[in-house]
Amino acid sequence: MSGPIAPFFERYRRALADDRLRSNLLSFQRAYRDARRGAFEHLGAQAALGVAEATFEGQRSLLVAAKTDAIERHEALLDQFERAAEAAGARVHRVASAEAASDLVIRLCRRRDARLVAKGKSMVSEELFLNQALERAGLRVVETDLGEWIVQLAHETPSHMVMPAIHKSRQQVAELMEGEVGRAVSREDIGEMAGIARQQLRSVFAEADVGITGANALIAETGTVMLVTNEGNGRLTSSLPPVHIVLAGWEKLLPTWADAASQLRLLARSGTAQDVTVYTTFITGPDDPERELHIVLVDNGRLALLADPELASALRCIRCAACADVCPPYQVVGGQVFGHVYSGPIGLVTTAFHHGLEAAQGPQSLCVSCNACATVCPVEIPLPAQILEVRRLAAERLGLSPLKRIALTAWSSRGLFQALAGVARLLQRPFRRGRSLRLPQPPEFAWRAIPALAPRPASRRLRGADLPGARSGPLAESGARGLTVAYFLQCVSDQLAPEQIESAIRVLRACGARVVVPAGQHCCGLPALDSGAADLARRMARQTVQTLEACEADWIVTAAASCAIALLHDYQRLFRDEPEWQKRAAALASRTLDLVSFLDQVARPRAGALAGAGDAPPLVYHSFCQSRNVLGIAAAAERLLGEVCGLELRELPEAEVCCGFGGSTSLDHPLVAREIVNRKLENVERAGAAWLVSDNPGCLLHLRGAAEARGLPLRVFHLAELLAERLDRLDPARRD
Amino acid sequence: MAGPDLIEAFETQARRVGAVVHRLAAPSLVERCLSLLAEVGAQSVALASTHPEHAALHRAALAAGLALVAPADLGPTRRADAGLSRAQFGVAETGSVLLHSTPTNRLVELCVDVHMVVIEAASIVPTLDQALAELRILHTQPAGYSSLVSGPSRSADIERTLTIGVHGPRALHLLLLSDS
Repeated sequence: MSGPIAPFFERYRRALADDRLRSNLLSFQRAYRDARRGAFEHLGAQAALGVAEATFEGQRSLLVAAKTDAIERHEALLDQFERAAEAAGARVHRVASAEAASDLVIRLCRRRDARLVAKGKSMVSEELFLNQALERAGLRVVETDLGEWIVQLAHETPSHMVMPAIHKSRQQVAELMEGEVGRAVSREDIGEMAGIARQQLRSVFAEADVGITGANALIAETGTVMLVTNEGNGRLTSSLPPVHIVLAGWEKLLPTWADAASQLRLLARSGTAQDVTVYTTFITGPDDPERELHIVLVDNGRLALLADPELASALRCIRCAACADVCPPYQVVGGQVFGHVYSGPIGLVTTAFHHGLEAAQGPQSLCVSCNACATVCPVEIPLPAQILEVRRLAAERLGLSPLKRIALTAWSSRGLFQALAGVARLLQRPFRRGRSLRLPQPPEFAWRAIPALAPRPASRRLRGADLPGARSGPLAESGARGLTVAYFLQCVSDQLAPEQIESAIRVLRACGARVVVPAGQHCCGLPALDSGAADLARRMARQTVQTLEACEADWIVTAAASCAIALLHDYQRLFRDEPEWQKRAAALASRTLDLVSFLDQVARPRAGALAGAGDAPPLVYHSFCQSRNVLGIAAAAERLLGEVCGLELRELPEAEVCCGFGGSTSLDHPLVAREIVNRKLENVERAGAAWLVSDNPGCLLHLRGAAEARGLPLRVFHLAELLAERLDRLDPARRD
Repeated sequence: MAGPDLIEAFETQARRVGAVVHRLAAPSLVERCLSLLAEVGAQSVALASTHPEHAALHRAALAAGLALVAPADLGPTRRADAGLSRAQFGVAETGSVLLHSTPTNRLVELCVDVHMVVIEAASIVPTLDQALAELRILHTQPAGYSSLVSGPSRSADIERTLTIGVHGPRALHLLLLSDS
């Protein structure tokens, strides 16, 4: 049941037209990372007081252990919680569905002849569309959290789990309040607006028959509800009305009081970059014989989520919204599009279980797989992999578009792919202008020049090649000397950017490695994986594994970081139901490296080895986000440029933010990709760079195309090309 | 961490979260409360029942011409300018005071503009771990409502602009009592 939520594409179009939303979220995301960093630094300072594990990672391990335990033992812990809470005088109710939950709450209200219900902030109540159900039953419901009240006045769902009205401007808020209070409200004075909320809601607190809140944790040991708030409305809602109803998913369980420490240390810092929220409230039983406390524990799809081994860990979520706060497509469209009721990356996963796969289908298609969310999740939920799993389920159960299926099926056949590329190479000739094609494009794609296929793919010259390593030269005395490297071309660079491949091989040979190029290699399968077509992805993965494992090489290396990561991480997940293939993929992964990691960890050229090859204009380095977030090699690449080449890198603002390519996302959602790439190019301009260097062909195609369409005088190229260029200057004789 | 350092750490963190901290010696409590009430311009005050010095505070407030509101008479639309509570303990790590209160005394925390909390320096524990251990004991008695209060109420829901004093008190003053 979708309640008051409009269809995905309607919300999507509306959001794309909302400049205010985008700029609010951009300024928020820019402030968030620094603020969060400061908050965790301050945690480190608390070690002096005796706080053990006073780091984000340390507390995260503790909380992961506690939440994993809680979810595993949830049946026993729920019993314990229920017994203790009821011994203290509360009533605990367990409900399976949203309908049952709403019906129960209505019944509890009717028992007391309730007219007015005061709501503290509760995402579960949003999940259940409870307000609508209560209103249909004739009750008046008023949200008392400032952000939720604003969103209620606007008849919208929250666009962020922690700051529900973040998409609204102060002018919009003032207008909404004016409509409610019936008098003029200053469009500028936020203090006044907060004051209006305070005034208006006072009588609600005073007159409410029932107060409904959520719960941030349910402490099983003593049947205690833990509530974490800032405004004071949570305390008023849970103290004043004679009936207090707590709505919580059962996964909010924590086994013991001690476990609450890590949640408290992580929640506010992750959510609002505060050390702690103003009020941390613990409620055990109703503390007055006249009052009632009801604790409603909701399932609504949580057991189904638990039953899915790939996705069950999503239940650990503590609703901090850090994942949304670093998510590039979320910034463009906001939480009402990047989500359903639950927003942000976590929303893309849980929506499938609380509101159905159809509701998740649109939102999940916006994920660019940059992995930023995974780096800030305080309970280490593998969100990127989970979102791809939801994508796979959507493709499997709801179907992939016929066009995509045909395209990917053709792509998966090496012969057909190369034949079609050959045809395209012929057809494109009249339209070639340099590296791109002058072809009319639909307006939503016009922000990116179409790349031309290279006149000759690299594989034409290189397939089956066996090239000796250099005996001398600036890089020859490296740790790669004497090793054999099998080079993985990558389908896209082969056809569109063979110079990247040529450069990478040149660099590897210059390091003293013999380079072999296994014949018969094709696509690693990432485009299919990225579209949710797991069967086609597996076909290409098997082909890739077979081709590469057959060759005798110490290492498999590629300048296509995305493919390296597919081989290293995605393959074993892809083959989780095929243990033989999984083993083979693991064996292959153990000797696979992307080019930057190979240079940094194996070759290890000495500092200054490529210095003295002339100056470079101001340059910035854009690390492919997965190189940064999954492999952790952004710094290694910068060292290659800085220490080995002796180059000065300009600082790139928001370096950690994705370029917006996202594989299929830039094709499915071109306007979202456009906003993200504009953000990146603006940052590049702010850095005053003339060169933009990166380690991933996909990013480079995307960035180059966008820069060209904007007419920017920016040279956009691969780190391998820069290294090869410098080698050419220092050791020209070696070129071949 | 030793006594004075612990108190220092508590004070620093409490200030960091926006509380105003006043250090005083126990015998001067009543006098200090009254001068603080005058400072914040309070004309009405509610006293929680948990103060050992309740009678003296009550007398002094009356003498100063303040209107005394019985906690039970407080409500969201019947507020007092100031409320005086007593905390069970403080937590240095978060700069918090723990208020474990009856429903009536809780009104003193909720329905006032300026919230003043008396806290004994000797009651400060270093970390959340210790605080939670104490809380666990408190909540093993049936029925209990406690809040760790860390600063005045706040929101950043409108354009992320921070507003202090939303539904809860807009100022939090901690009266940090030591023996000498």
